Amino acid sequence: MTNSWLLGKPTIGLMTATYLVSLLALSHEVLWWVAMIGAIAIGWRWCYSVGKVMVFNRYLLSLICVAGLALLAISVTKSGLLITMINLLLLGYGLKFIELKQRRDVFFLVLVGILTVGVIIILYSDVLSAIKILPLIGLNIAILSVTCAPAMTTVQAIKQSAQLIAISVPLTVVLFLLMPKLPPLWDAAKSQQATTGLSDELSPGDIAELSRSDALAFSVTFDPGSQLPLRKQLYWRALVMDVFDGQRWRQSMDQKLWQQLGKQLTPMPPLPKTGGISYQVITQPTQQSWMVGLALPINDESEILRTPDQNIYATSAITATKMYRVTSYPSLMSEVVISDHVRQRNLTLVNGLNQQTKQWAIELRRSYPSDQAFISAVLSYFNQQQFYYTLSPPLLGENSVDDFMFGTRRGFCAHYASAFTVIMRAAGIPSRIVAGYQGGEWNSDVGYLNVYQYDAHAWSEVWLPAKGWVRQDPTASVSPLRIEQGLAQAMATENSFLSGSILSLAKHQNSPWLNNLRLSLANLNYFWDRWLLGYDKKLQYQLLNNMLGGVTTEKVISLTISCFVFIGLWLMWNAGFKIKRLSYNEKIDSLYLELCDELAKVGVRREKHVASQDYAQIIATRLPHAMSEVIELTEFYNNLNYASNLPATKSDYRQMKRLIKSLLNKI
Amino acid sequence: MVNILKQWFDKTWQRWLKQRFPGQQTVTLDRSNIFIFPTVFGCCYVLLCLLLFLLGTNYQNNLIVLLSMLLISVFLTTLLKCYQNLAGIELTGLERGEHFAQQPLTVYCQLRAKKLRHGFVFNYKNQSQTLLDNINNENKVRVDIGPKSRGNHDLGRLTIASIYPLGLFRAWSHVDLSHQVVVFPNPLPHQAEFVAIEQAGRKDHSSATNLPAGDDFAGLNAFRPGESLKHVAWKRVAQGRGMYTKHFEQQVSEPQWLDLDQIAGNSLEQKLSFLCHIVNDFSHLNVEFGLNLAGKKLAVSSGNNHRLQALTMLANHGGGHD
Repeated sequence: MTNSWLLGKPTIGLMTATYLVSLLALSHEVLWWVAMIGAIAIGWRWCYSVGKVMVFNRYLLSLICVAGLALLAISVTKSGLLITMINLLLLGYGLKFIELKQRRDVFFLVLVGILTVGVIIILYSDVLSAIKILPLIGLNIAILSVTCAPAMTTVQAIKQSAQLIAISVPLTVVLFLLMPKLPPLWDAAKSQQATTGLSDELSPGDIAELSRSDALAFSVTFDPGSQLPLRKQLYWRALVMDVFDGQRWRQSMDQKLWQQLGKQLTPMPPLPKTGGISYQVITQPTQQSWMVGLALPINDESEILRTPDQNIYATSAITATKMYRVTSYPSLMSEVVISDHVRQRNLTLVNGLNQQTKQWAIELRRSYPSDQAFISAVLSYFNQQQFYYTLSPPLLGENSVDDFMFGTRRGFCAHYASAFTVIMRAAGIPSRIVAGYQGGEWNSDVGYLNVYQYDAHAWSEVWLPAKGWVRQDPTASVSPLRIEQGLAQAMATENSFLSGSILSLAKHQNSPWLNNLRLSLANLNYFWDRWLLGYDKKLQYQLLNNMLGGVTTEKVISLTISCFVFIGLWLMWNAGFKIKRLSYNEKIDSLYLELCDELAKVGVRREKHVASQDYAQIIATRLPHAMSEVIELTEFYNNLNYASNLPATKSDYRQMKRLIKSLLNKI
Repeated sequence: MVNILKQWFDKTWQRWLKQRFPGQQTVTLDRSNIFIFPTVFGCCYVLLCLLLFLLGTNYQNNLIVLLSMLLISVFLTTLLKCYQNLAGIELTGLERGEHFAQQPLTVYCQLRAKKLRHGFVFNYKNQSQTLLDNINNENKVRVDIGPKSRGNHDLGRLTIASIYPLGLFRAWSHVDLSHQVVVFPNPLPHQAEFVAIEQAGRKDHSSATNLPAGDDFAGLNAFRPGESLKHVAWKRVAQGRGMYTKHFEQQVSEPQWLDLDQIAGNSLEQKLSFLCHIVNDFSHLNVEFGLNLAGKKLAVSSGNNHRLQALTMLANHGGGHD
């Protein structure tokens, strides 16, 4: 077999384009030297194709491979396993450009290319990335096209691949919608991907870090029946942290053990008849298990657990966009009982640290023996003293709370919550920190709430007898704007909102059309997440139910069959299968032959070689009473076949039928 | 054992093919004679789709599941496209070209298709492949076959295959175009022939041509190994005057008779080869000749048709190949 297919510039051009687009899509992950090796390999391939360089030295190639693998092995510890695997794939992908000797090498390259597309999707599954992914699939298919039909130009190959994809879309949609949604086959929790959003430890810097990101954290749709809570009530609880080492807050060992070992069910409290707020949360992948919900979230799905500290928790890490339903009962928070053990934990402070704050709290407590009065006094202290809300506070020392309370007095939610909780504990009121999100952006057109990473927030909960866990947000005392209008407004004067990202659209909420663009994109993303990424068993059932008016096995089977019949016809038609339609001439011919058969029954046989004219005479002599009809018919028939250049029409066909009928009537 | 099984299988397969698709001058490809199956690459592709599906299911990532569904749908679309690329093509075996033994054969096949078709490979069993990029309305394809022995040959089945559009499927057909070829003997130049041609070409006075191996004694030449011992001048050997062979010549005047028995040669094949060359040259020079192959005669004549008749006779002499 000749190798002429390989020398084609279209093939190499398409392969190069595919590789570069893949590289671009993975630009955050690819190591610079992996990209460089790829560039060298492609450069060599181009020079080789025009005959400027010799065959690549085999030893040099092996050397590059070994060196690349060694470098990757070294970088595992630094960049993590996932990034290393991606780079390994890209390294092999790039080097394959040197090893293109046979047609199957090109096929292999395409398989690697498709796998790369899969990797890109794992990392990026939003709308904008999907727009990049589709052309990438098209390019990969175009490589195959041009390899299998060497005479094609690049443009033709791309056109053909686009056509193939377009033809395949209906089948894809039906397969996607009707394919049973399977649960994960094995535990995918051991993902090496970097986690996003909150983590189970909280130091003040973490939230400041999050507030620089305009990435979507989750979207919420409230059920029609539920009353939409006020913005200042939207405290999305995610994690409870009740252990403080003087610097950082973290989850208790009990909670950790519950996650790792027990996961036993927390007893379901008796649900009140009214006051429930039902909503759907579509969360972005976090690679973690915590889930968000308003105060006291209840969920009855088997893969979502209720934690002992009144949160919800997924049985496996959220690695892809996921949708879940929650009903929250705010009143249930007051019915939570606190054990001595938990009370003790929520009163513990590290000895020897933050002494000044403790002292201050104990003194203040003397003037306010009632819990409620004490809390109000502390909050008004924050409000009236010179405390500032800022995203760039000065650094704090070992006694972080002392430094903050009596020194810098500048900070954001985590600082205030931390100081408040320490003061409460010092005064003998059990208290803890809750990390989560506050507020969100309401989209009234479509009716959903988008909560972004910059809505991350931390606040306190104190335990009061007969009231249970009560939310207290000291940040609201310092910067009411943050709670009532969001971070963007609170930071309007400081100009530090999203200071890290200049291009962020969320930064320009004051420019009307930029804001409109941002909101349209948010809408698009919402639908994408809700209907495509969030398409699960429940949605599938809902869709089938709406389409069929009740899901039964027979209905689903008949729907599936009819879908596949329709798609089969669509594919056949597009691939060029045509139903052969008889022309009227052919139909008239068959009518004539039928007539001959009829006449043969009467005894007038027509041998194959006998012309219609002669046959007419035979009939006329044998059946003289039908002579005029026979002559008329034969004349008409011969006229159609031999005299006229035009194809026969429907009326001719009818006329023929009439003539035959009248002839047969005579006999 | 394996060999026997293989032979048996091959025989059965060929018989089945013959029964189902008997030889025809013109064959139209349709669903009765097109085979289609995924290629190795196609199977790898499906495996990759499965892998992506598992990945997507496990990470509950709908977009990857969607990708795998799209790829599978493209796979199925390709199945139909691949079939359609072959369906409706008309193949006609063309009787043309002269084939000589021990030289590669070239046969031609006429292809007709209503629409543009892409990327074909043609070959006869165990023979080299011919690539054809496009079939556009009407094309002629040249298929090369390795050397065959002299005689009449049935070329058997031509395989036409295509992996268009994406190499995921291979559609193919084994068509029997009743392609019969006559393989002439391999022409070999004969020493004495040049003399004959020279004389025939001159066409002066009596214009007699001397062909070797005649009846009239022409003289003595030194013995060369390989010469017939019958013609050795034993008298001179006995006299100790060296080993010589007697050479005879036959005087042939126009028209000339080419006689197999009168051509010197080591074997029948060699003699036929010599004759073949002479026939070609005579025709080239427009010399009239007749052919006598051990009793079977071809009347004296000239022209290309006569030449082809003569060559066919040479090809089929002694039963030919089969």
